[in-house]
Amino acid sequence: MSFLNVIRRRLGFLFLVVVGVSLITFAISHMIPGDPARLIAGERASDQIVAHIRETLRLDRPLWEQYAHYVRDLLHGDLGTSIRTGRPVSGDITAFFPATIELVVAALLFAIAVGVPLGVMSAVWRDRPIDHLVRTIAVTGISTPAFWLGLLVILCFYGRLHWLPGGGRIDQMVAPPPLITGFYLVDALLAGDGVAFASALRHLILPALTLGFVHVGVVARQIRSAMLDQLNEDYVRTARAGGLSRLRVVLGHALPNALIPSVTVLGLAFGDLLYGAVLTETVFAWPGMGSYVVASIQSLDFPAVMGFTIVVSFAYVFVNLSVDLIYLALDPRITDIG
Amino acid sequence: MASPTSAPAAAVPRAWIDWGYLAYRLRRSPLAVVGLVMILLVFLAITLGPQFLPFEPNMVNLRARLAPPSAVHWFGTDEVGRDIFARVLYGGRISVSIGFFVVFLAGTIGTVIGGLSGVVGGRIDTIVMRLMDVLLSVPSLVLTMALAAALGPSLWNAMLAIALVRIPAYVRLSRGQTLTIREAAYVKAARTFGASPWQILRWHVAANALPPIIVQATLDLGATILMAAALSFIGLGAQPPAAEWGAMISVARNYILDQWWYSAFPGSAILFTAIGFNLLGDGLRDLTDPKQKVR
Amino acid sequence: MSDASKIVAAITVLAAAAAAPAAWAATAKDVLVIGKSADPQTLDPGVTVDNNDWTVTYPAYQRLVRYKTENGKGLTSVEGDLATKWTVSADNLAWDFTLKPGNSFADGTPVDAAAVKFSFDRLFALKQGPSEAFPDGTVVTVVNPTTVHFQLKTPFAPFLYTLANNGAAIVNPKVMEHQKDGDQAQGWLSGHTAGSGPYQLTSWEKGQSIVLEPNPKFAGPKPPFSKVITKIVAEASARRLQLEGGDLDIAEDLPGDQLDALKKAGNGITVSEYPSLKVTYLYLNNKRPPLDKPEVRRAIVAAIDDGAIIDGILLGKGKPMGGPIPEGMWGYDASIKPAAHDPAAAKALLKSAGAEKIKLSFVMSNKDPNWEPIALATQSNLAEVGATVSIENIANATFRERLGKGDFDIAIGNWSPDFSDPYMFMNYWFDSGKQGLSGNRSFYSNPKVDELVRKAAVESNQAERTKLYQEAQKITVADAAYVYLFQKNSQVALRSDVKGFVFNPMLEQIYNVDEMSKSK
Repeated sequence: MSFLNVIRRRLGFLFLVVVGVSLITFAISHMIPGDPARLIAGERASDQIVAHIRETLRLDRPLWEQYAHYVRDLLHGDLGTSIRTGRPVSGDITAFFPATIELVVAALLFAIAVGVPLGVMSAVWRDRPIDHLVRTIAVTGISTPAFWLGLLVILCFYGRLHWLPGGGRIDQMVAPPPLITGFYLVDALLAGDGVAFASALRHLILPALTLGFVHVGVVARQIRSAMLDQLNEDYVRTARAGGLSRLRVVLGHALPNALIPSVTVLGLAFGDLLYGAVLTETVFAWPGMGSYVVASIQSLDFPAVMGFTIVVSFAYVFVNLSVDLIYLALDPRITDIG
Repeated sequence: MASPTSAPAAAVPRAWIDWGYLAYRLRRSPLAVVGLVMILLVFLAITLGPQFLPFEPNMVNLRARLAPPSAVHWFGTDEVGRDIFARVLYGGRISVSIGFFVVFLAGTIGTVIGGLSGVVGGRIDTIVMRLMDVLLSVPSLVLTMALAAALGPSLWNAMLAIALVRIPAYVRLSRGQTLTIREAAYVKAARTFGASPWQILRWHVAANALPPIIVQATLDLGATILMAAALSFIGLGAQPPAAEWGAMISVARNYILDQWWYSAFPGSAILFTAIGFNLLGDGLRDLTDPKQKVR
Repeated sequence: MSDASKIVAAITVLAAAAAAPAAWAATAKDVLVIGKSADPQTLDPGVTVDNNDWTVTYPAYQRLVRYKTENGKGLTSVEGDLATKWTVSADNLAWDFTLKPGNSFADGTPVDAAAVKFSFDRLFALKQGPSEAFPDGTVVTVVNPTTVHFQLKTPFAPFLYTLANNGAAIVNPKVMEHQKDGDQAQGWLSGHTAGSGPYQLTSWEKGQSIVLEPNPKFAGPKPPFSKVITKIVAEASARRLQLEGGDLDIAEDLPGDQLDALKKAGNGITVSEYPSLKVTYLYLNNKRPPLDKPEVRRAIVAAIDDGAIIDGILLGKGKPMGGPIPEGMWGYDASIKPAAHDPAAAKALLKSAGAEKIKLSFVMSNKDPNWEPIALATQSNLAEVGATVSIENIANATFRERLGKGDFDIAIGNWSPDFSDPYMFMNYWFDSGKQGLSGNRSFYSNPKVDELVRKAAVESNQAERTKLYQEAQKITVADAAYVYLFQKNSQVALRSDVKGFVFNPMLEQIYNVDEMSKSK
């Protein structure tokens, strides 16, 4: 019952988000001074040529008419044609989005894998040296400019040590795996292509670690705070008094309970990771949405910018919907979420 | 319960900051102290530092381009021979002012909107909160990038854009605080005696919501400085010849292989300042979090 | 937790296994890898105006004529490519081209007169950037399968040279099978190639790499590379590292300091330097006071220390210019010497014009990394003569907008010719009919110059045209319409085992991949 409620509410919200987001981005992209037609026509094009391009792109129509067209196409699942590349925006997004998601998921896994143990240690040994050390690591992660760290990492692991590739998603001499999901690692596994898998993995490590490092801190902080709440609960004291070992209590009882509220925070972290991905991608030549969006914004390619924003907002709402559902499933005490 | 004759202000409960406890905790929380010291160092360096420097941040000297750190140029020089130490110090002024301005703007607007929305309640509250949810669903960097591009790339526009995306966090925070005390007896009493929503907001909500908002603001200072640097890095923030840290790294990345100092110093400056604010914010949050007072 | 630790362990093992092979490996001998800073945008020759796209399109298509190569040097004169010979009528209006037999597109369709007509009709129908180079109202007709006729409306002296442009590519008429909603197959051609050149596009992983493979139906000799890969590596430093590591054979777009470092290190990398036709110059807004006075403009020319800019910013990789036509283009006048750096004379000129202590805006964008240091140098040079310059760095789109409207005092620009004719400089820069973005960005206007350059554009005798252009040059230099800063040297960094590369100043970022090879 409550599952249905949450889903219904979220879907209503999704509709609101799409209307809101499309209006906001449309308004923003049309505030931009500058003429996309001029950009495609080239610096030297005559005014007639520019006018002709404006006409074909419907840029000469009133704004509301352009928006109406956009929404009509959107309802048909058509995100329009990119001004910059002349390709359908949906095609570009299918080409670039999986790369970004792959990077974000890898970074999130890394952040969880490192952040959770750090957070637990920090809570268990609160105010001890190890707590200070963990918190210093966490704060350093949060405070690191990802674009700068990325440069240093490339310099070190590719330039000096020659351990890992310095950019891109797969070796140029390795054929990308057949397109199934768009995630190279998954596709390579499905196709049983060990070479492609190894190459894709090696290319993923540096950007994922760079992006993930920033979020190790976010995860560790959250786990620490949730663990502290749990460790102060009566049941923990009871269990300890009942003779259970400290380790059993911490890992067997407190941690699972601390993970429940942390799931929500991870959902929010997903949004921040997308944001961080934009910067990480440019540094690592990672062919994801980041570089695409930066280029689109620079060339006033508003169909591309809007398409991206709408898709990301969708993804964001869906991630948070699933997080809410997981939350509901994990914690039977909660029957409704606002 | 407050008596009808006492002034509403007198009825405001004490804020959660307990100074004696704070001093006790600070001793046990060396990281917050370290953060405080780091910030003080940054402030000292950027306010007093430039007075003692023989170099202007924008002084071009093509004969001394890309010189490594030395006794003359402590942090070396850049591709047109400007002193990087001078530029890092001036850049600090820019970055830190951006941080304070943005956080102040977003914090004030967000707190007022959230507080009013919470006090007024009803349909307006619903509309405001849905609006904030929509704003939160747009990826923040894209929103700032699009806004900065739309308004034209400049430091000022980047600041406005960053402030806009930071507002919802404060709205939620201040509304949440408002809701918890709206039902408190003394607020109900004030309402009975004809206090307007604005007055209630000013008298009661402000005093209670302030500590968590200050904590949030301290943490946001670090985040804002990073975000401004990121915008400048992709060319949508500070414009040359302004010595902004992100903008400096954006140029310096082309020199990272042969002139390590060019990107190392502005990068470390961002890192140092952001760590300072985050350590302090982290510490303050623990101190003001009533749940964690036990022990 | 135990699950989590298993995952961690698994990831660690996999990472170690994946990291085991060396990260640096040279590319195969029959594969050429070119490192680019940005993904091409569209591959439709009727739409693209960007050299960055032409790296892919130029070797995929053929044109009626091509630039000559002599003794390993690329020239600006042309010879037949698809055409064997051509005739032109006495009034310079009717051109007939005879096609070479035996050329065919990658799918086997022969390249005939109908294909030529189709390509130009499509170009004119699209009416986008590349059509700008071709005179308005040109009509193309098929005389017979091997003869095609061009009828011009007005005489246009550079016509033959425009046919070597990327936009003059001959496109397979069968692309119309991919037409959607009357788009002239634009959507399809933006991501595919349909030409008769030595290579054709086989795959494009957006944002990562583009693979070209030999066209099986190519009429010329079999090209040496089985694959030409264009790889997108946005960071200049990363491109250099990949070139050094052998992951790239050619790295584009490296900053001067990095090229110098590469040269110094050796390490199996050759950095070659070629004189180019890429000109960097300042627009002085001739319409807006105080720059409407020639004295003030001359003062600015004298105040700017061109030599210091070339030495300090270009690291000496450029040549100062005296007049608008760069060295290497016919019509160049060696007797016009670069202006001397003379702050005292500049001050005197400003005083005589009553324009001391002027305030000027310098508008620029980040399109070229050299622009910012040049702006800074200009700012300090002009400060020495009492002029205050405020630099406005704005988004490139906004920048162009302001150039078009003439909303600036000083602005900076790069220019390189689309076809090898002084028309590209003299007519574009000085004809008062081309004011604004189309070329005359100083908003210069002089009836005498208009007359001279317009006459040169229709005259067929090259000696006569040279005379007209040189006369116009003298006037415009005296009027100080622009500040000519330098013509840049093009530098190409390639691994030393790559042989046979020919640089052509008309073909920046385009490689003669059908003639190059790799030795080991």
